[in-house]
Amino acid sequence: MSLFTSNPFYELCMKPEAGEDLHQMAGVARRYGYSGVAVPVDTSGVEERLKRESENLPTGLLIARSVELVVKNASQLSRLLHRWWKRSHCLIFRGGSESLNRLGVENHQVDVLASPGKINHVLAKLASENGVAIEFDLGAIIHRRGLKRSETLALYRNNLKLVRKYRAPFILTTNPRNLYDLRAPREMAALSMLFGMTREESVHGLSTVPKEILERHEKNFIAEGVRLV
Amino acid sequence: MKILPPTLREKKRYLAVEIMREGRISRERLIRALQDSIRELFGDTGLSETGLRLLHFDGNHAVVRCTPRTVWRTRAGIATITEIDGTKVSLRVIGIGGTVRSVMEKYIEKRNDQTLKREES
Repeated sequence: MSLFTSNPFYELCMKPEAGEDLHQMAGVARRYGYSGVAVPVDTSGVEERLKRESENLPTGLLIARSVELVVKNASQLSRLLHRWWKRSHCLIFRGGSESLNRLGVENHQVDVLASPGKINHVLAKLASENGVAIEFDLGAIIHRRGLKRSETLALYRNNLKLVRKYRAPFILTTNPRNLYDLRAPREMAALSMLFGMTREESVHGLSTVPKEILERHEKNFIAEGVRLV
Repeated sequence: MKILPPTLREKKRYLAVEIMREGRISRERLIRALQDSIRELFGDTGLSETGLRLLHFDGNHAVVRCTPRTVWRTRAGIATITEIDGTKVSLRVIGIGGTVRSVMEKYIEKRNDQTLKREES
């Protein structure tokens, strides 16, 4: 089981609800074995809560700043990228439609393409070239039931096939809104096995890819594998 | 009648489960929730292969039995439980062992000791 004990794990899409205690959620994440989480700082209140609860936050857990980009066109995206690129650790682009997904994966400054729906070979190839990670939202598998869930699993199976073929980066998350939505790394792997992902791939999506994303935003970072020392 | 020789017995794995909950849940409801969620994911055949049994439950921890081949399936079933009887819950496997005793000693009694100590201090 060294796979799950030797790697640092990250949950990049934590979105604490208004009534939720940030430090409590962070504590649970720490206990579950995560090394870091990312919380959105663009939504109102989170920045202040981070400051207010700073004393109660658990030690040994990296709390990165993420930004969710919800845009309609390319000019809006470039404006937001310009604004947040240097002030955050993780840029999450909310996709959905074909044209939106295309916009997201074409921009190498975008880190994650969230809720992409069904991707195709063109998107997967672009995502691979630009290093945009495709999100697999396991929260949907947890919360949906019946036919809806089987549709989601079929969708993920399709996305996984393309992601494998083009070696596009991908991340696993549950989009947790409260502490009951969080899942430990091994549970995440168990859930991703439902749509055919191997354990090694799960660890890749929980550890390697998010780590690279966070490193990309470090001050000394120059290019993939090149760092100012 | 002679007892079933050990070589012919089904192999088992015991999962130590940690339960995070908002309110109280009963033993019966937990078993029901486990069975239902595994059945919803893998169907009746899938559930029958797991040989599921709940062997210990004290409110915060449980020991669940399954076969070695179905450990990850059971884990997925455990991970998809979101509520029991209208109470928000989140379950997590904290350890796996080959006997109930080893699982209890290694994962559950130790943890209960720790929580007791924390309450005392």
